[in-house]
Amino acid sequence: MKLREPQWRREGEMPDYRFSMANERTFLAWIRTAMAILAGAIAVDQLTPQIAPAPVRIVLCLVLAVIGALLAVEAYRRWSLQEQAMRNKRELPHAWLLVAMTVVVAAAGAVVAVLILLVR
Amino acid sequence: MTPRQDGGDETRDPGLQPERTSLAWRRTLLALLVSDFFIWRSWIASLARHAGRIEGSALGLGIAAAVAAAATTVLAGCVLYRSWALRSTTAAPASLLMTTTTSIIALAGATVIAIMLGR
Repeated sequence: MKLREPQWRREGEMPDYRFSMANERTFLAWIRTAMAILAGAIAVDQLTPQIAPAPVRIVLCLVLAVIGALLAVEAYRRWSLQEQAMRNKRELPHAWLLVAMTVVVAAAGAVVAVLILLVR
Repeated sequence: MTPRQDGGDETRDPGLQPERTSLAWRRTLLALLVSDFFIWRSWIASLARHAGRIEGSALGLGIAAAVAAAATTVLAGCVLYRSWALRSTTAAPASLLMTTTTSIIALAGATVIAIMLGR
């Protein structure tokens, strides 16, 4: 666990530990969201084999799994950008990820709803 | 954004911040177990289908199950380390969060294998 700290960790000044920890918890919340998407992908695949023809189902679940992986990467990137902004007393970066995830989750919900209607 | 400078602020909730953070880490570990359950379930089901003979999909799912177990172990290590480090309320090292992210990406890989080979 003795990896090198990134360069930006030596820039600016240490933020208040409460803000640092809030940022860390936000990172963890995004990580949990990523995990929930991964769990959702594999749950749909295993628990509802009849929801769509196998290739459609597998592609949908794979897309969800890839989104989960990308979200984990983005969680780290956001954490480091916000930590850097705090260290340099800059404004926090814009949270476009909130919009993107709203769209993704709404789209996933709509697709599942359509599939459920078609299966019946 | 800016820390308030008035006196009482320093000790306002010294105990609760680390506690919330440590709980968030534990919650994250619990969330990982859900995916583990599905991946291991898929592996065990394929072992049962092949009735003792180890074939391609059982092997692949076995690897996925092992990767998921490794990701869980790594994250559990991160949770233990962080809970310990929080006692001195230091900021999280970047390497810890990078290790966490890596373990989730490994879990995503295991999930992809399980989706492609399952059933």
